[in-house]
Amino acid sequence: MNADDPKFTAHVLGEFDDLTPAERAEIEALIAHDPAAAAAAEETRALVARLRAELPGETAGALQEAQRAAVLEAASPEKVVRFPRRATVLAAIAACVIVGISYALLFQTYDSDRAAKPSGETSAPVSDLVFVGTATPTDPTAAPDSIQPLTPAKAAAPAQLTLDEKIQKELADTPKLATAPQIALPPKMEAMAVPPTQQPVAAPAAPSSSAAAIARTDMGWARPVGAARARPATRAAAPSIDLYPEPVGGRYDSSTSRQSTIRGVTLADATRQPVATTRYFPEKDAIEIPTTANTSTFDALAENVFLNARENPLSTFSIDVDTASYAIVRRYLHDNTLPPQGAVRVEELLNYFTYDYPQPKGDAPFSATMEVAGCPWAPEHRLVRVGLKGREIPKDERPPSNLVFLIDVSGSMNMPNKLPLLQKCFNLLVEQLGPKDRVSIVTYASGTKLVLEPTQDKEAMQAAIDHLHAGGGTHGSSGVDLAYKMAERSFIAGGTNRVILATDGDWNIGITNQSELLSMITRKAKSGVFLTVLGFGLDNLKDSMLVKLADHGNGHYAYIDTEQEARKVFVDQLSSTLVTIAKDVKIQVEFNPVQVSSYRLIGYEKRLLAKEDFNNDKKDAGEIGAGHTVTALYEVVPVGKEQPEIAKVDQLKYQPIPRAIPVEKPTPRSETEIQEREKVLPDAPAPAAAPALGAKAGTGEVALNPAPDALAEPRPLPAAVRKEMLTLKLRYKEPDGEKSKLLEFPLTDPGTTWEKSSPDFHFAAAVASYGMLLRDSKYLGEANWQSTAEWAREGLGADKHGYRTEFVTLLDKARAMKQ
Amino acid sequence: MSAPDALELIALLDRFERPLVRYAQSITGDLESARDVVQETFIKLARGGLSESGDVVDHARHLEAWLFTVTRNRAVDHQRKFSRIIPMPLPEDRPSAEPGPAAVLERQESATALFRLLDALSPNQREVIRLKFQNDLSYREIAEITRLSVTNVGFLLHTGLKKLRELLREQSPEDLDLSRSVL
Repeated sequence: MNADDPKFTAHVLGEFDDLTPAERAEIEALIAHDPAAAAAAEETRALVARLRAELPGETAGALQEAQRAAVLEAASPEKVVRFPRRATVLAAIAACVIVGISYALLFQTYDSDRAAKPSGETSAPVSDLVFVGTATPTDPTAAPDSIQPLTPAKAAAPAQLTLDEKIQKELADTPKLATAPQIALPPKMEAMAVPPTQQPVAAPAAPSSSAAAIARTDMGWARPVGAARARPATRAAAPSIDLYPEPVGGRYDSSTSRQSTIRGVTLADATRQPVATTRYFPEKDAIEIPTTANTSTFDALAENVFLNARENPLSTFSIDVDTASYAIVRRYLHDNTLPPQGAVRVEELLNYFTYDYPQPKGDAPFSATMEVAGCPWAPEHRLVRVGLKGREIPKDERPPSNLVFLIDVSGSMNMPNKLPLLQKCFNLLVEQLGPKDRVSIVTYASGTKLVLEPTQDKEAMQAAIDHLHAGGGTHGSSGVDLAYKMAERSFIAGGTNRVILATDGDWNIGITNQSELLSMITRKAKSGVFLTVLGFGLDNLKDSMLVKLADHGNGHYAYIDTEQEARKVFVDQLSSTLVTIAKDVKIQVEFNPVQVSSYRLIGYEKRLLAKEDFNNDKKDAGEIGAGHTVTALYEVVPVGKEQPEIAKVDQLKYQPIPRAIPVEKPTPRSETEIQEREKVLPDAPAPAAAPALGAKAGTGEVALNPAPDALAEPRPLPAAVRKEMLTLKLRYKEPDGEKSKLLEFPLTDPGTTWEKSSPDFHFAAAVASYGMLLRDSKYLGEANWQSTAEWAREGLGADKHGYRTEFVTLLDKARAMKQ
Repeated sequence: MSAPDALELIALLDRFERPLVRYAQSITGDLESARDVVQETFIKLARGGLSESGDVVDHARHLEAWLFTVTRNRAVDHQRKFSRIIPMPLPEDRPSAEPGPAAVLERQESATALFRLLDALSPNQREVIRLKFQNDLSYREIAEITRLSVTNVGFLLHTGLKKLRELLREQSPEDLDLSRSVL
């Protein structure tokens, strides 16, 4: 043995596996005693150290985004399956797949035929099944904390009731399933019933009988425009982002990514199936890689249904000041396309407009207003408008701001309606800022970059904005991390601390990482930094993701389709956008079953809360900004009027008091019946058994539910209380507070007719009707485009900024396209 | 192990796409075909190719070896099909200047020097040296990937390292103290 033996080298390299103990001993002895061998060993070690240090630093190209996406699609059970000429196979696959597909998917769907754009001769066959799995994010705050610390009295049977409500709702939503209500519930169901669902659609899988159902489960809304970017994929990048130095990932990418941008543009221009696909898959692959690359995703939400006021007296939801849906719909209409139904969120349409609600009095951060009048599309019904208005803050009294612009400069932003618009948008904002306001700018593409250190120098801000350019993949999460770090570093106590995220949402963070990102945002939101999400572009807008980001990140979501919209958000409503005056604002309406037979909340599907969440201060909810108005509408069926169809559930088997499901119990059908009932129940002071109904505005804790034995029948109530239609309860926290405050407002229906209601009421009804028309709501009643336009015109009012007038033109446009 | 799910796949992509592309590129000579090769490799993995191979896969190291093996086979196939002169790597594929002090630059210069020296080795030697020091694989794994015997791998590494040492010694006598140039 000598130093020129490969075994010697193996030993020096620490490769002992194939050396016998004797050989090892021999080599060690050689190194110990032979200076030449020792020197050789030393020289080899040094070389090896150098190789180990330097070789891994060699530039290593990454896959292109489309390639990564193709890989992920190949793995995903929800991949694109294409059998162009084999409908039977398709049906068989569909039938198999349905079992595995979550019930949620059924709801996350909409008619792709309507949505898909004509795509020329190279278009994909219509029979494509596209299952784009938008993983329903787990809400980390929705841990099983169903025990209500604030209301110990109600631990009685809340979980069961929630479950019932959910099932009932879902059954009512899907007549197909309602025919088989006795589905054996998977055991998981119990667990699922407890955490409140932000999305009412998160429910266990239910078997369905027809494969046809699945064929319509085509929720990947395919706009076959280019294909360089497919499903979100993760781009390798520096795992931990320090503020300085710049992560290595950011550097190499600038060259390669520019290339990929160019490719993307080329493909997009060609509007063809990507050349790439054929190249990557030269032959004989039965399952093709997705070519429906540029997709916008919208979560489809099932419309709220009518609920029986006796069985479900409480309606609970979070306020929402997002306005994105309105602008997204507008963008579609301007493109002469009808928006996918999932893009139409009635509450965001309603809240796009401000209404003439009074300023709050006293210390309250916002005022609450209610108006009730005839429902224009169902004259027998009543329409209740709940309006909140945040305290206005004059521009010059706006507290100092610490803003971090988090700007997506990935390749996909490199389009005229994205980055350039974004730059205008931020420049507008900068113009509005005062000397006390500080801005820093973080960009992210493949890497994350701090483009602008916190500064109060407007010129520096504008220069940094003007110099943005797009290119590279999108590693959104590290950008989020850095942006929040910057915001925390420059935190202004008592001021505005806000991250303003501008993106198309197409983050290459694999499908399944969505929930991770959301839980990160949720954690970050606890730092007291608020979030504004600005969506840009339509070709691959990941709307569903942005909605969730805003919801989880104490934020609101606006969609910027035009410079005018940027002006609305950053000039006209700057204070609303920047200054949060109350957070976690929740609404709970208790309906009085003596007056109300059933009701339906119009919109807010994505913001529904379990009734227990109302008093749970750990449960996150929406924020309200200075001067923001929030509007919610209820369609209410008074007692004695014809009941809309309400799905029934079976009588409970194990509950001694079938309180939640009194399906058999007749509800009063006529005025005389009520009077009779009232005779039986003499006017007497409200007994302790039903304190909630009698409770008036106060900030103390109120036992919301009477004791169970009081629930079977309503106990005597004071006449005035019995006449009340509902009680509005609000909970909110101060922007930096942890404990919520409670406000209560009862409402008695004065019997106002539709004609006598306020112009704002007319306008809000028109906006809701517009949303219902676009969504083909089953509750349209007498509403049509014509009547909706009339209502809108009646409600134009002063219309200082012209938003309402624009709405009327949009209505016309939508009508023309729908008809 | 069945086909990895999307989450696992993302992790694997994050971890291995660059090393694999780099490795494939060292065989095919150009980035584009290297990417194609690696994409095919991952798609094979995604479709359960790993379990089809009949191997018992319960071991991350084995997975790594599998990835390198498939990448290599495809890259070699590709190379055979398009046998052409290996083009010089494009300048833009070299690391662009990293931010930071001059030391980084110096190190890069020396790294470039080292890469130049590697070019003087035989393709076999280069390949095992890459697998060993760039990807930290064992002799056995390298043997599995390259279908050489372990002894062969040992021999190639030994001769390759020896050649490099000689070249370094010739090139810059004052740079003999290699340990100084490390880090």
